[in-house]
Amino acid sequence: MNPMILFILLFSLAMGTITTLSSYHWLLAWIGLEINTMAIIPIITKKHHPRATEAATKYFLTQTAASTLILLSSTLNAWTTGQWTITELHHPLAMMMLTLAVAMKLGLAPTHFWLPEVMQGTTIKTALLLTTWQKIAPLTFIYLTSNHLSTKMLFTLGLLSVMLGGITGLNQTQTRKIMAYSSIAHMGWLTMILTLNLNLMTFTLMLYITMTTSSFMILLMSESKTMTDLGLAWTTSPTSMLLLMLSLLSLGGLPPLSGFMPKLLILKEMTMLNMISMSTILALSALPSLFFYLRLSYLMLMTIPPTTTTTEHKWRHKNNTLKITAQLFIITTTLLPITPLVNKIL
Amino acid sequence: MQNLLNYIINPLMLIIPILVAVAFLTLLERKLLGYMQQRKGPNLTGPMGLLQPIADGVKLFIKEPIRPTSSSTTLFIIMPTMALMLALMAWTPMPMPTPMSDMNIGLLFILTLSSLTVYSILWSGWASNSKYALLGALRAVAQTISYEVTLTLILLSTIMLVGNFSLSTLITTQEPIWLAAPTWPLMMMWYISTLAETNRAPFDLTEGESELVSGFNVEYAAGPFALFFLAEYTNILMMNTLSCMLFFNSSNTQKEIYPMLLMTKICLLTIGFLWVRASYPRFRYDQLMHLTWKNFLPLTLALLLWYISITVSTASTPPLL
Amino acid sequence: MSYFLFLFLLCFALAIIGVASNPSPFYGVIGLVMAAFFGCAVLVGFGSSFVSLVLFLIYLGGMLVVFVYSIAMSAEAYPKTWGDFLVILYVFGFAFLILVFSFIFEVSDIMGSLTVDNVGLYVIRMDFGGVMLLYSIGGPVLLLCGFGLLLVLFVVLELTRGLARGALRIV
Repeated sequence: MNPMILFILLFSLAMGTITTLSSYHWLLAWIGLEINTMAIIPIITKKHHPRATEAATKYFLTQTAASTLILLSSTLNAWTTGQWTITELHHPLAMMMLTLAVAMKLGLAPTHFWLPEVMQGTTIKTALLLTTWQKIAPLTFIYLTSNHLSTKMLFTLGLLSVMLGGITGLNQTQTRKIMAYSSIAHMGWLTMILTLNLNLMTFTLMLYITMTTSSFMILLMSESKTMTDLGLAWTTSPTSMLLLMLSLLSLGGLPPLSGFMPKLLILKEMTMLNMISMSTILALSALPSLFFYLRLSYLMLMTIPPTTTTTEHKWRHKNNTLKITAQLFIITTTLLPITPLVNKIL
Repeated sequence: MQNLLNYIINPLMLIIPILVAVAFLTLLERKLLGYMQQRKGPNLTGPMGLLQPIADGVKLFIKEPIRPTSSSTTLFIIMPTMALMLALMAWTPMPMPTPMSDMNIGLLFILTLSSLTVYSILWSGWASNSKYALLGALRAVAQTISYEVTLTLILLSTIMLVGNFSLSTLITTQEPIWLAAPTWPLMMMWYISTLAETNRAPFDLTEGESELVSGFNVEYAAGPFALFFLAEYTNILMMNTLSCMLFFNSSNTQKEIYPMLLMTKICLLTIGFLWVRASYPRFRYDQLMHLTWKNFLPLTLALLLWYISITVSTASTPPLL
Repeated sequence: MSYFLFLFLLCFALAIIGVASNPSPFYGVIGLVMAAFFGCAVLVGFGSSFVSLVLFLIYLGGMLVVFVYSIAMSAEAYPKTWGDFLVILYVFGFAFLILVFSFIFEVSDIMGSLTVDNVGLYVIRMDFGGVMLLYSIGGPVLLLCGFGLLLVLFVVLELTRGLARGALRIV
């Protein structure tokens, strides 16, 4: 890709999300969303390949359908209430359409099928963009309108996402697909907490983005596309495999790592509101997810498979780890001790 | 009674003269082409062939209309009707000097209708389910929508001088002088574009007889064909009326003389159409496309900016309404 | 005019069903054009004639290209029309869904709250004001929209650049 065009695309990718984040008016937010969607499509097809084209088409279709729904719901709301403010979403039909549209954009459970397909079709870097940066703009909508959203609907969507994200991820062997299912499950956690505690939602999102990014950094470095690749990756860099294992377990929410913190706080918030059965189901639904993270970790580090690498000179290549990885890993693994502080702030 | 007058008699009083004019336009065309080619043209039916259009019409309408078995019958039959209906509807906002309905965005309305006529061509070509018809329709569509772009841009530049989309304001604007004087390059491009828009020679590539065998309407015969024919000539007259409105509108606002003057001008422009048909050979398709996309489009865009800036810079922007 | 409006809305819904019931692409496009036409007619009914005409003008050109593209891409001897069994099943299904949804969400209330204040294509209207706003205080948004369109152009060029000219590039 021409660097100038790449620059324009990345610039628009950033600007679209920032426009949505900083807007107060439905139309402006929608424009930002569309710019964001448009900008990522050539990035998805950057490696020209039928699979990438297919992924871009799928992404375009779902995202456009969802943004059209958002536009429709905002227009409906403006028509009935006479204003275009995002925070004033009063009409019930508009509210429901917005929730479903955002669910589609985020890849929440009943409308999540596009996400693994699209991620599998693109490069690992683009998959990273899809699971992190692309979640921010849609989340802005439900963040801003959270006062008017239906709690029941969000709980249904969220619980379904956590369950399905865990169970359907069990059978996967492709790392990008596994990350997609982990993203679906995490988005479920976010929607669960959305109507209960907004700040906790933001905090969870930030931590999720950090953990996912650090996992993707190692996948990127070792170019591991399948579990088999991961099984061989220890030969190039055992240390980074250890880090990947830690960050995956952190994504799964194991206690000494910082991924435990948002899950703990969310469950605490829910139990404080007397939603015992709901939080129990939620906690149990996290187990299948944990299983596939564990399986990945087991395969890449805890056994040394009886295979040797077929690439002889892989270690000779220049190390392409990004410098930011170190900082990301510190946040991903060691944030748990500040839990009381976070609890106090939230 | 009021309703009857409004909804039936009034439109009929518009439609019938138009259809009569169209009928005699066909005769005029044949006669004129005849004399230009040193022959007489139709001269047997009635005095000097004056009844020829009526004979033609009767013949066409009493023939059996063909419905090809492989066609999409509904679409196939509806399209000629739609073509004629659209062509007639475009006359609604024409002030001659009183319009049938005074719309404040009459120009836009006419433009929309004339772009809708493309659909009648395309769908009739497709519904025929014949390759010749389809190819003819595709060529017609490509040509018509290309020239529509320039037509719209030219219209926009005149609107910059007029102030709004209403056709009656055009009369007011042209009280001092015909708009043909300040916008003559536009006018010439407009006239050529209307030639192309109505698929007339030398741009009649849609029905280039030798190559396409009558183009999109090969499968049509008798009544439906006659409707297409009528629609085409109605469109020619309509486009010429629009040209007169835009560029040669009468400075004389007396209502009694206005229609007479207008009709004379329309006749002259239409004879221009026929003359062009008699004189020029057909364009090649790529040249046709180059003419609009490479010559007319940049020119009209530049001129649009020019007319916007000239009105602003000479502090003579037209009043809005 | 309110009778006309009702008729237009009904036809609009029918046209939407016509598209959604999944006939052959050609018929789908025909349904889309119908939907555009009746949607614009509804807009005229509500008094925003300028916007509706401009929308229609632009939408027509776009749909034309889509139709030409679809007949160029897929040739079927017997395209599925709305009369075919599966399609008509969809038609009735969607009609039923629309009825159910309009009862559940009381869409008729929304439609009932619409005002038909100025009739037809005649008087100067609010939509001119809306266009004017776009060029005065709405300037930044206009710029943003312009940038968005430019971006779409870039995106399309980038997607179609290369070997197979004019189509999405394979490999």
